[in-house]
Amino acid sequence: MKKNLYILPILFSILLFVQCTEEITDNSIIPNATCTDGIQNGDETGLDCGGSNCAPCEDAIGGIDFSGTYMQEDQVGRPAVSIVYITPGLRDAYNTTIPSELTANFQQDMQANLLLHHPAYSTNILGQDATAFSTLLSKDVLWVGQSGITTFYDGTNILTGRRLQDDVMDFHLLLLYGGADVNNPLNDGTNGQPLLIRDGVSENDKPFLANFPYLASPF
Amino acid sequence: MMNKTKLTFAIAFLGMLITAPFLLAGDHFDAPAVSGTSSDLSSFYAFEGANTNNLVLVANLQGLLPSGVPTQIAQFDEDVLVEFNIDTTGDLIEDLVIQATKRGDTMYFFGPVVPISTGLQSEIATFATQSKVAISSGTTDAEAIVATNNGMQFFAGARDDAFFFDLNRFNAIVSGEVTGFNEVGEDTFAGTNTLSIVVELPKSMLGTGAIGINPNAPTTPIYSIWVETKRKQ
Repeated sequence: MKKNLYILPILFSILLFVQCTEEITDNSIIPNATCTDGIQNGDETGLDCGGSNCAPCEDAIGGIDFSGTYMQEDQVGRPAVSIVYITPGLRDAYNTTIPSELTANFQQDMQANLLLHHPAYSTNILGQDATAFSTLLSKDVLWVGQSGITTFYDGTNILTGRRLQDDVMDFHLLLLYGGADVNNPLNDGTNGQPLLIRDGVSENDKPFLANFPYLASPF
Repeated sequence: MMNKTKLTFAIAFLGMLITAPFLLAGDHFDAPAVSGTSSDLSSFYAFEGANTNNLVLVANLQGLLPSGVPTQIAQFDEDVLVEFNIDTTGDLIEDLVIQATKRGDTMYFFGPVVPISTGLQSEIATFATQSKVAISSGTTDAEAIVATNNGMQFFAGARDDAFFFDLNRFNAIVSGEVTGFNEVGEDTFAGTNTLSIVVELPKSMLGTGAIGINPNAPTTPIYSIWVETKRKQ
């Protein structure tokens, strides 16, 4: 009889273990995943840590303090948009306006600066008038293709990313000063026109690497 | 004829040249609040990796650093959070972020992860996938320290500034001193460095992207990506 009393808790433990095993394999039946149940469940990223409810898992960061609130000071989407198209006194505001509100707040300023830079602007190689072009510029994020060639402009593909070797300033200048015909651009230094569609610097001063981290070593 | 904006640029640039050459040299061309500071972004790149299943994100800070400076005085700032923002749906609101910030001699990374909040204010998502890499201080490719974690690669440290442009000539055009570029220009950024943060990650971590975003590539799924710096309050 005494022996049987020992067996009961053992049987109970086995039953509990089986139940827990089922819970692990089927999260849907857990009524309450907690941060103290000894199981990695819910959206925990480790055993009873991480996820939206538990304390952070500290194995990788070793208790280092990452707490606090961080406020925006600068942002970059496409290269050189701010310098060319935003009035200097508005650039701090530009850097602290979320992208979804840039068009509403800065498209008109961009269009005005576009026309100040190039009063004769009519259209660009993308077929955009000043309003359409400045609207594109004001959606100042870098579009990056999930597939295909990722380039700012390679002569064929347009605004599908930005590679290190892309001559982004020449593309900016072409859109601003080159007119509609890519094969017969304006402001190319011929026919008495100034050279404004390229700066004469077409590559970096140091070769990039074929593999990670891709950027050339420092001087 | 010099127009009003060009005149404004000319005065601004002349003023900077005369009174604060370091400011002009310390920034590609940005705004007063961040120019020459530890949160000053100089360039952002995003491109397909050597492994075409991957995407590479590059944030450069504190551009136009002269040779030798990055390991001496220019350093990443523990109070600055560098945040890659990825909009996968095309509404210009970030759906995922990758956060990077320095502690000690190490750059720590969190994500990609759905941000705690979108917009101008951030907290670090310590519950997300955590990665780290020792900040490189050497000047050779062999000394570049690369860490891998969870299919991603990480680098932080000084690199050659990848940006190239005849900025001095551009300034001269804007100020009306000259009328155009030269056929052979001079790279204002030659021989200068930036502080770089590089992340390579599988595209699959970012979902499929959205089609119909780029009118020049209407059927290509697009991620809309930008990088921000944020300072601890």
